[in-house]
Amino acid sequence: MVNDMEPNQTSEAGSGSAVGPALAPLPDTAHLVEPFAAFADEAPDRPIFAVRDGDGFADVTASDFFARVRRVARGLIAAGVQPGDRVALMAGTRLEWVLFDVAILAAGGVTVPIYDTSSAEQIQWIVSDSGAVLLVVENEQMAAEARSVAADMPDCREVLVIDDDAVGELERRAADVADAAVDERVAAIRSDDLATVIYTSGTTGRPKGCVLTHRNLRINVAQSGVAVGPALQPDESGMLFLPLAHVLTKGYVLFAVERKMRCAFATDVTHLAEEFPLARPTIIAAVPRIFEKVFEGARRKAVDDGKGKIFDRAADIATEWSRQRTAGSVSPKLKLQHWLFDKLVYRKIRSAFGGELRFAFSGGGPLGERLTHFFAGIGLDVYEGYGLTETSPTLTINAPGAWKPGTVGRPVAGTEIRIAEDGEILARGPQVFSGYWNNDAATTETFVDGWFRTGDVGELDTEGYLRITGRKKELIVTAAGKNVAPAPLEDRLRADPLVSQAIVIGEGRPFVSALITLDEVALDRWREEHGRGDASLAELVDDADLRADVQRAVDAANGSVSRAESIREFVILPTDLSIEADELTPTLKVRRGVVEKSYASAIDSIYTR
Amino acid sequence: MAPPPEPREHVLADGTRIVVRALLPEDRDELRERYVELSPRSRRLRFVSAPVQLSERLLDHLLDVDFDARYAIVARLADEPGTPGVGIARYARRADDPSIAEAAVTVLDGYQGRGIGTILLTRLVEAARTAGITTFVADVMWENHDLLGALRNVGATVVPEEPGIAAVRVDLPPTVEGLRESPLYEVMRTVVAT
Repeated sequence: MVNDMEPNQTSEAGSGSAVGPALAPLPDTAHLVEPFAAFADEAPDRPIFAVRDGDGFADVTASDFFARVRRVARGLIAAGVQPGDRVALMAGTRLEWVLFDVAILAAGGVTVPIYDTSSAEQIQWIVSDSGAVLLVVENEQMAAEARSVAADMPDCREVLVIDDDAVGELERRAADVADAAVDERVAAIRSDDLATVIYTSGTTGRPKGCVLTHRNLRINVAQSGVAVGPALQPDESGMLFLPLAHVLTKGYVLFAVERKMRCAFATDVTHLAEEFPLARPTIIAAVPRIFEKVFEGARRKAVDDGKGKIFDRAADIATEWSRQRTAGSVSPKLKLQHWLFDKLVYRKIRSAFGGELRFAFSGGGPLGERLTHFFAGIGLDVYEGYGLTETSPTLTINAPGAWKPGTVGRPVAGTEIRIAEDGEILARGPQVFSGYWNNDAATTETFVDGWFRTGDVGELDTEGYLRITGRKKELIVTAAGKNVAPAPLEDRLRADPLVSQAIVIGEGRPFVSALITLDEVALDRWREEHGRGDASLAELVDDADLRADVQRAVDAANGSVSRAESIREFVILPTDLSIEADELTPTLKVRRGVVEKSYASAIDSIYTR
Repeated sequence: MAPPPEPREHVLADGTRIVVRALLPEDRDELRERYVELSPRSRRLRFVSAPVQLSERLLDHLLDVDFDARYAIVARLADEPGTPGVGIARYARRADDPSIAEAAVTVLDGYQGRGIGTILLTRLVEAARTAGITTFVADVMWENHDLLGALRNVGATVVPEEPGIAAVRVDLPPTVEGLRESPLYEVMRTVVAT
């Protein structure tokens, strides 16, 4: 269905616009259940997924999986799910997530994912705004959170708990529904029907629901396929460890199923070091943090073994080797050095990924040119792409033969990228959503003359590669690819009388933290009440009682967000922000970036604890 | 310290009379009170990560004007008792290049869109020009898109800085007299509309 013709990337004068290769349209009857059905039909005994079982991974065959999908779908129909109904799904990355997702679609429903770290306030908002009729949660703790806000989720009739045998329960209810009912529901799906509503944080206000259709997601798989397909072998295998509520992971699963790959579910991210060698994936999708962690872990180990210098040399050689290879040819001397370090160092780093990994998609944040070259140099090609939840997600991607580290690649097939006058990246293509759920105002704001406004600022080079240079939205993107709006968190922190200024930090970091300055008057009162009359601020910043009081302000701010967005650590600054240090502009505007640099060592201590 | 600007009266399009005069130490309490009245959005557009209230230290900074390196004027309603303040504008020269200054204008939410910002900014540009300042810079939030669009129309450079913020740089017209005819004047009119 994909028109595999020569790419005709174009770009004018290093700005203007760039267009991806041509793409055949999807038929109006195409949908997301099809690839699962096709896998079960054409390769019933091949593994579609694998789950941890004792010392290894146990396969789940495509036919078994699809049979379960059908039973759960019947159970959902028995539970009253009608075509077009939203069903919310809150769980970690596990087989049941995909099982429920596909079953919801097969019942004609729409999946509304909720991050497993979400707060009760967020659960309430997403379930009530989407009008979900059922809520499937992973465990009793999540069910308790949901029940605490049940009164404010009027459309939600039932909460099903995966760890309390939700699958078995629905399979039992399936007995009341004919098998053919599922076939009817599936046959009725049209490609422009809703498939999912994914909630994303805005810079202010409540999360907005991005409505994605079967067509949006399915065509994006085809688009990625045009770009990277030629580099794939027939027997690739994958591994899942990032949240499936994130559209990058969702797109990756769909890609894997469409290609009839096996995907292993990691128990969780803390088990990756143990489970990569057990599952031995050849292709993964990850966020930059995963690559940074592997790099840092390997380096730390080398340093601990007294081999820090060798490691650094090996890293330089790998990076240089990749640069020269990209430029056209590698010098004979470098080839030899590269060969040597491959035996000594690179092989060990590859083994951290299980030893078979050749190929990785990276998205959700910038990976950095140097790290991209480093991994390419050790034999792992990382293809960085770019997109948003609103774009299913991929808009541009680096690909075999069209690879430029430091950029996010060229537009995928059927996609146009244009740089607006003010530098904003605009996009058009079949993967671009048509709007936000129940929020026409936000939808109107996000399109200009039919182009989707990404909110990011960038440049196209003369070959059509896109480089991201800035962000119009006041959002922090963590290393895990999570968008965090600092303004509402800072506002909530400053609502505490003790807090004067609050700066939320987290760009490219594993989690969110905050730098806090205290209100002088409130601090004086605090000193009196706690008998610290003559203690200087510098002495007090690590005072356990004072920190406990500030922690209360932090906890209050965190109540509104998921754990992934919440402030995990904070530092009380011994001085106020100053103009002299450029932390405030001459007219007293706060410069988050400069503050972050001023307190780099304090911040580093947070992230290396 | 340069001499402060003398008070001058202006009439808005709706007939309201305002007085624009130098910011004075006695304005301290009012500045503190008026700040609290600003909407969160207005505070954010002005200070980015804006405090809930202005600390004494911030007030010290805001009131520390010499009408040369640090210049500030306020707009007050002429016909109301006590002539309450409704807007403030300032510039501060850059230490590394005194021909460049950072500019900022704030008008109370209830008085926005009535021409007060235009008047304040016009006065600010006039004073800057007279003082030998050739360029204004400012950190502007991208969400203030009407202002950014207008600035780009007069040739201002707008480059992304931190997430959410654009660094803007605009050259001032060469003469004070040229200001009213310059496209920059149109920009000022737009500022007020936002």
